[in-house]
Amino acid sequence: MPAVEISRLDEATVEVWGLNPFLADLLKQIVSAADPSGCDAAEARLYSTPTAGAEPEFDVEWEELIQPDLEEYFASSLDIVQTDLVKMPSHESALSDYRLRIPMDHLESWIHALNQARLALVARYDISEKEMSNLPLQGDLRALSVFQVHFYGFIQECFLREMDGGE
Amino acid sequence: MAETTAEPEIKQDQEFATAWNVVVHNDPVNLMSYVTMVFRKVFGYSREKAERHMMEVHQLGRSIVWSGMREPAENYVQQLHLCLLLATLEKP
Repeated sequence: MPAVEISRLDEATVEVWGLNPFLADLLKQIVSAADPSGCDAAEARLYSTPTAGAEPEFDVEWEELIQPDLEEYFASSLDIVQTDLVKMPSHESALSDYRLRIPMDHLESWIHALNQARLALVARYDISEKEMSNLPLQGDLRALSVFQVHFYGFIQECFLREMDGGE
Repeated sequence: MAETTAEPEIKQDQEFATAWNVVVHNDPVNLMSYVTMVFRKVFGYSREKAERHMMEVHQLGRSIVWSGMREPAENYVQQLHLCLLLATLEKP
């Protein structure tokens, strides 16, 4: 994985550093990657049914009553992520060491947003489990998406460890 | 008249009194550590119990993570959906 480091700057802040322009740009794409708009598969994955068709009426009721709450919750996590991302300097040095500072109390929102982005990307590009375990060599958009899913997973895993007290 | 309306209510009460299972299904995209964190947060499970359920999901494709009355079961499914786990409500 990329030479990105994540460390505790102080009690209240986590810093992601060692980001090159490409990886910084991928991070900036979290919010758009998490958006399922225009993709039925991504919509279906983010808003799954509570009975998987066993109780069609209840599933419809769920979509009408619960889905708006889910949408609001997902949007609030993504808003928090966006407020941190806009603070990331666009360019710091010729060596391109981008740094992102995240308040500890935003970390859970980041973890959920990264998860949402990964799920939406996999659904949108119909990435199989096999493809996930073999990084493709060709440099097309699909290959980039697989890399993006892995990169977000790496960051998500690091944040989970930070949340867990650095274990 | 009163009897005919009472019967469905009793049935409904019985349905709600029946134990319901909250089932989490495997999704290989979700990180194992993330699933464990969600189980700990939503159900207040110990790390060991949360990891046991996570491994069951991972290895067997599904795990019954909670059983009980319909209403709290629905609430748990909602909380799991907020965390984007594939969760369903099932009758045993």
